[in-house]
Amino acid sequence: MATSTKARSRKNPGVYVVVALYNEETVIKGVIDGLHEHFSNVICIDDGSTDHSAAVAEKAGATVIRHPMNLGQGAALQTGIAYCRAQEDMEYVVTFDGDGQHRVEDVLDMLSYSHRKDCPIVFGSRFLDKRTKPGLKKKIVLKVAVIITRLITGLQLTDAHNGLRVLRRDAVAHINLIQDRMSHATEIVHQLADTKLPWKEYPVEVLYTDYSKAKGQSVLNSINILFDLVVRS
Amino acid sequence: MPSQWVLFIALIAIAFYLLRSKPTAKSQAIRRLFLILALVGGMVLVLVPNLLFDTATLLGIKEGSDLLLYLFIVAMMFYVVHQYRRLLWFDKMTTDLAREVALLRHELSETEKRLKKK
Repeated sequence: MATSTKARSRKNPGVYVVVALYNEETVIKGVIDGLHEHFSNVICIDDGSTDHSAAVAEKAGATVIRHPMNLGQGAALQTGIAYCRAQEDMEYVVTFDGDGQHRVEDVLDMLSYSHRKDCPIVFGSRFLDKRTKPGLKKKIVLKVAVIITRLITGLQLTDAHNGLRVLRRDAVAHINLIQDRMSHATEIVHQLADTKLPWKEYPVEVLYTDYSKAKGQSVLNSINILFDLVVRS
Repeated sequence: MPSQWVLFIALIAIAFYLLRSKPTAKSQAIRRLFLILALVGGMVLVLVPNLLFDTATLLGIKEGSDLLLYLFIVAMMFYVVHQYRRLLWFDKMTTDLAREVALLRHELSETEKRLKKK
């Protein structure tokens, strides 16, 4: 399937930005508009939202793929990746959170880093500089996730659950996420580690809006993540 | 006590089943075999109640009813683990199916749009 015939001039035509979308109708338009300033291909996977997220995203000009029901963020990312893999002109897949906590500038920096250093996998990390200020509770949750990820994948990441990733075509080919819910963040690292391709963590800033703060995870959920990853279908 | 070893091994087998089992015809056959054994064993025990006490004594368990309780707990745990694994398997199939539906629907609507333009 070739790319759709859009009239506007194409920006970064080989880059596909995948946004998993679940009940973000208040913020998604801003996120898509921001992305469209630099990227023509914004793919929103609506994960069975019960609000008008999908309609808003479509109106904002994104390509919207709708899950028939809510499956989880990992499932949505995998659907986006499956779609992107079918695009012949795809050079990069960028995963980007739909709640507005990532900066488009960081994506551009990570892409240019990948080009410059011939690095197929670039993970965003909020812990490589002092810009991001997560609360204490969030810090603990994220550190536990880092430890789990290190145990399971062997990669020494500083920020395991950052939704911002830049993946070149050769890396994307190896991703097949089975974990539908939050455990996918560790699973994706695991699968990328298995490719033995070079990787890099790049400093990014995470914007903690009141909106994204309200959606944080709990420490106990890391037990679920560990269990999910050890007991697999 | 032999009963301790039997129970310990049964629990390890359940843990292994939780981590490793795959839905194969072989494992299904083994489960069915156990079911048949349980049914036949139950019938025999109903007809020869003393056998329960004798087996318990042989395994170093005081009462026949204790042996039954242990057997019940092991069987129950195995059942729960087995159902959990089945659920994981079904979840995965549902996700794959839903993904196909989502991608096909999208392709369909893209094709429709293209046809309308022409």
